[in-house]
Amino acid sequence: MEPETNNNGSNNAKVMIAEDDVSLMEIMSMQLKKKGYNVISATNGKKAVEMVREVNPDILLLDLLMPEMDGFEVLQYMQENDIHVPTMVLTNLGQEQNCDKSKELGAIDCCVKSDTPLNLLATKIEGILKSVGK
Amino acid sequence: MNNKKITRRMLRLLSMKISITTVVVAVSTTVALFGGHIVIVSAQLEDRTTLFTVAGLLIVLSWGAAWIIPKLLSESLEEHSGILRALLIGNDDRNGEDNEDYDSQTFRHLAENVNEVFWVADQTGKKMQYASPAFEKIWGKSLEVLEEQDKNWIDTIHINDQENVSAVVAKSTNDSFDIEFRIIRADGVVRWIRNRGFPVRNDKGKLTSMVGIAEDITESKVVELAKTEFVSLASHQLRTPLSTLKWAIEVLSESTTNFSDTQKRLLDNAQAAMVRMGETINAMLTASRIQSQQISMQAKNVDVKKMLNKILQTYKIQSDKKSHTVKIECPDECFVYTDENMLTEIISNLLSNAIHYTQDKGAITLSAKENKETDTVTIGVSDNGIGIPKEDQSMLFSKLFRGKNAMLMDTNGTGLGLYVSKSLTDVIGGKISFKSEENKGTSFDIELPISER
Repeated sequence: MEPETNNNGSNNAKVMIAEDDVSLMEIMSMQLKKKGYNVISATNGKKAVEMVREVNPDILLLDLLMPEMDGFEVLQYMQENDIHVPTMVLTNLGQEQNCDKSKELGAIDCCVKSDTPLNLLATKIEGILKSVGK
Repeated sequence: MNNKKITRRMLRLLSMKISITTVVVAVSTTVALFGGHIVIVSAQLEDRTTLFTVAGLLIVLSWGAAWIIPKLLSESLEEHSGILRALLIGNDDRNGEDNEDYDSQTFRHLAENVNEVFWVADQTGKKMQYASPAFEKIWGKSLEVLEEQDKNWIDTIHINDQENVSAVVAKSTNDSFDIEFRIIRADGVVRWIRNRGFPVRNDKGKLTSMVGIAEDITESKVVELAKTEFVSLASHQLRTPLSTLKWAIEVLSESTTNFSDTQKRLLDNAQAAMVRMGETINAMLTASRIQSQQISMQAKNVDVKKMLNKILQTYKIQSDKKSHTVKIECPDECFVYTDENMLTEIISNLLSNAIHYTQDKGAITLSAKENKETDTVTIGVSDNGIGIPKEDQSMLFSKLFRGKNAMLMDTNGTGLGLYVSKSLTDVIGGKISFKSEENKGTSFDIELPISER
């Protein structure tokens, strides 16, 4: 797919969201689409793993508490199977141990959803994509 | 009488007993050898056969005495330890002697009947020399496990806690220690133990041993962990709908410019209420973790200016709403080795208070400066707001406390912010202080060591 710049300055990079809360998923995907991203969604960890293999996204936004496979298991699976997708963990589990553990398992960034405005989230995504040349 | 004194006396008695035994053995041996020698010399002049027999008998008898006298003496020492101890430690006061006996009995009675383990260990604090019988009840293991060669009490605790406990004990022979850990009883049941140890020194200040008390705290630990677990679960359950609300309103308020003033105000109010709710949940979670001591420091080099900018960004909407002038006064190169998350939470709480309790168009300053002499950094949050009344200042860091004028201005505070800030500052080894005058303003300072401690 040819990179193509839209008027927001972002390209249509593939952003995958793994999130089991439907309303959060809807808002996030709405905003990211508005910014010109190509949004792919998975509502549990197992689907996330399958789709990561299938579509090879440019960035993965990963929830921690999900049915089937949780976020830690998804990170571990990617690590064990040499799948290198830049991953940003988005959680509502407040303890920093969870963020530390996510980073140990390869996540680039980790944010508490209720403390992160959508605009800040978009800036972070842009930064990560830029750092991997997208 | 304190434990230190009793232990010192017990140890002194033990060493005196050993030295008396040595003296008796030495004297008896000398007498026997000397007697034998005289008899042998005389035997060369008289009837050899008879005198050789007498000499043999004398040697046997002397050696027998050398063996039995110290044994008898030792037993009598054991029986009369109270009186002898009084003599040995030079206590010639009759009443004192009675007290010693009384104290010794009371101590033994206490040590052997309370539910806590009293213990005496060597200078390392690891090898037990004495542990009261409660050990067997709590650990579910025989006291013999402490007597095995090359083993110490730390070997009897949960494998996952051994490294940590060992480090704490090794570090605290200069000071006391107070530590919690798990044990696995012989029947496989896990129990929580709190163990406190204190160094014992001789008159010259040299460390001679460690003494302490270990108690089973499983019941209170279980309640505490359940409470923390509940708060953390509840906060997750509250945060999930909160993030939906926050993001939905964020999208909504950006979706059109055609809102009426009333609609805009309603959205602003909703947004402010949600920020407040987020703060309350975070403060609740941190306060509960502080109380159950489930909080530990993860230090790294923190770029202070970058951190202050990030915090200010988070509170921009609120301070803009009140038209505050907020400035940062911080040198470009300002680093401190600390836990960034905790420091961010401390400063955020202070800034949030400054915004809440400063009238519209007020001025707020976030500052940082290095103190070369003390090798510390002071981070300050100051405002020209409503201030803290004198009579409220002493209570400021208490949990759930709110100043009178603060309650008049805003009924929504939790009274957790400053409690959390103070507790977190303690965890990262800093000092918190403040100056305030009613109707003039308040300034808080956090002083932190720059480098790794």
